[in-house]
Amino acid sequence: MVFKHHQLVIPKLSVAAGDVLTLTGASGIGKSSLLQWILGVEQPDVTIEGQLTLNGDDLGQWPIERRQIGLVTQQADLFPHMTVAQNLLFALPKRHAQRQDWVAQQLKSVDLAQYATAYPDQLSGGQRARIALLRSLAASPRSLLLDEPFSALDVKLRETIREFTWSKLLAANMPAILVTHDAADAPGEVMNLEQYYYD
Amino acid sequence: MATTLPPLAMHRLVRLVIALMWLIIPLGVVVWHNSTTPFGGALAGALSALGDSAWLTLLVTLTTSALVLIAALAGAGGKHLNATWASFIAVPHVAFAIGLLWLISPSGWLVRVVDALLPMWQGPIQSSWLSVKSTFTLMVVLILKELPFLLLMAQANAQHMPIQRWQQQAQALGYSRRRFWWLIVVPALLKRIRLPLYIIAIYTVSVVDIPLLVGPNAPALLAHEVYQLNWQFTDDTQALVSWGSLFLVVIAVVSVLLLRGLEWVLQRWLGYLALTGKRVRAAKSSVKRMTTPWFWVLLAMSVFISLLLQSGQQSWFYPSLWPQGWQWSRWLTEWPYIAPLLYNTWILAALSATLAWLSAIALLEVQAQGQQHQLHGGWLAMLMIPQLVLVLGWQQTIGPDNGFIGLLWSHTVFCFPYAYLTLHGAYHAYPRRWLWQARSLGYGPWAAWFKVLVPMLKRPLALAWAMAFSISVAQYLPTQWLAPVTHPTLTTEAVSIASGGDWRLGSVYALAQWASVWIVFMLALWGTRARN
Repeated sequence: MVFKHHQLVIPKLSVAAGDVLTLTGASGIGKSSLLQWILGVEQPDVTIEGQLTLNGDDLGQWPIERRQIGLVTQQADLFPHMTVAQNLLFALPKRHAQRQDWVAQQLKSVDLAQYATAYPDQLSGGQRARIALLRSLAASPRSLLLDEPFSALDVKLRETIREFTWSKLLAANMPAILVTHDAADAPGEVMNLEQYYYD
Repeated sequence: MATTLPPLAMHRLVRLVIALMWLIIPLGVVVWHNSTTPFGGALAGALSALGDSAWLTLLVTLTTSALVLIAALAGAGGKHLNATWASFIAVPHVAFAIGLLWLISPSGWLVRVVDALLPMWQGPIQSSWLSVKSTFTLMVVLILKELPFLLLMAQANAQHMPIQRWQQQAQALGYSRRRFWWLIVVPALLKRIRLPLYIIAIYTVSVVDIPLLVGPNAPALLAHEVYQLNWQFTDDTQALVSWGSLFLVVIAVVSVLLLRGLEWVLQRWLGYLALTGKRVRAAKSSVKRMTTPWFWVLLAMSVFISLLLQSGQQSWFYPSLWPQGWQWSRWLTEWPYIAPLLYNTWILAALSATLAWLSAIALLEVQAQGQQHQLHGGWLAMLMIPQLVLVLGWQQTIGPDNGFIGLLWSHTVFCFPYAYLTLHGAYHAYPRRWLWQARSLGYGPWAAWFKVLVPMLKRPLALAWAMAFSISVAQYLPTQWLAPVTHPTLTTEAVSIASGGDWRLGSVYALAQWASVWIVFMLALWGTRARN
């Protein structure tokens, strides 16, 4: 990855189903850029060369929507013009049977059933974080990217949401990559990108 | 669209098509015309005929621009003009001028109010410099009409500065809020509102409809003079028209340079004051009152009521505060004439606004995908050239009455930069990660754009369309010079009637013009009122 003032030369990275690879490193080193590349976002100011495969599929030329990679961010990014239920319905594939029931069941499972018609700005940070994860998983992704999803939460809530996230990922048995500044967030292998930094 | 991975060539193609349609071809036509048409007459003769008008134009431009600048800088820290009020302020210039005249004329409403309150008063005012058509009246109309625009621009820019934190620091150091504003915020703001200030100055250099209504006649402003000369088709007058348009360009350049000089002086002066360390409290300014939202609402309401009363009054002798009789009959009599004008105006405005709006969105999307978030002044180039020079070039190249397509194109050329300017801030402030989210959930680029970006930006999008619509409704010169016979509009008729002295009938047309814009703004606001 060639940035304006530095390069990252990263060897082969692989994440098994059900595992979470944690990436750390100084601000600006390129952690989020790496996630965006995996997601499929075009980045005019970064030159990236490399190969990306998921379950044997070469994703290099695939657009974002075809990759089936979910994204959960620090801001949760719930669509503010949609209610909580609408955010989940938006993510749920059309072919899914009993869509309304599924949404109600998911909200009940996280004790947020009464917030189905609430808008994201009416939720607390922890509630938003849980809905954001449910929304990403609703689309049945093959993998998940977590871009500092806990950094906006206070210490106590952080622990709760972390456990909630790992339990959901384990249940879904999918590979995930976590970007964080806090090594305590990491549930498994940690990789510091600073070792791949070149001026 | 959206965050799909379109090839760089696609982005370039979009930019090229937009630039060709609304910049390169319109400019190219004028450059080609001017470079292939020999100048008739001599410079000395042109200077002798148009010199006084040119000096007056420079004086009016610099005075109004400087006053608007100072008032906007003083008021940008005040209460914000919200969208509803801003739309109310977006009254077409012509309607505003016609209504304001009745308000401030020597025997107008304000004088009558003073007369009623002060029995000793011997009115109406007898003064040539306060007459209906005078340089003073013109400057008052221009200042009151342009100030809200610069104020909105200044406030929009100030929102992007950490003013609260700066203010806390400055006040902790012992500076008053007012002194902090002038010494810290204004120097930063000056550079950011440079472009809108130049747009105002160049508009003033080239404006024709307002001087026709309220400007002086001897000498007239240069654009006014050239406009009238262009209706006379002798070789001598056409030579003067050519020289006049060249002088307009020179005045525009000189005005911009002098305003840049004024900015430099202000920066140096405020910088010097900041270094003195003085913490004196500045006196309260009356400018502040002019820059609060209620002042503009009150003004707009007064102008509106003034137009409404004028449009139906049977007689209204001095010093009566209210007309002696008011009837709908003038409206009913005029309706058969107004209806086709309304149709022309609305069709033209709706189509040109849509073209300009779509172009602006396409350009902003391409820029956002390329992560180019700065406002590119080049796309506003058509606002940086005197309109009369452009329209004159088009008229003399393609002829004076080319039907609807040429007229539509000319309107869109002027609507596009305003649509781009209005939408730029909101579009580039929009976090693209919403689109990535939607696409990571399986939606294609178009679906993500329509289902996520459009609902979230619906109000700025709607207001940008309304702004482009209002710009088209307000166009006078392009309609008057490119399709005066086939496509007259409310604006051209309102100016023709009111400049002929019939203010009552002019008020009917001005109200219809104002209503056209107001309805669209209200629909834009009402249609996007949901929580967003």
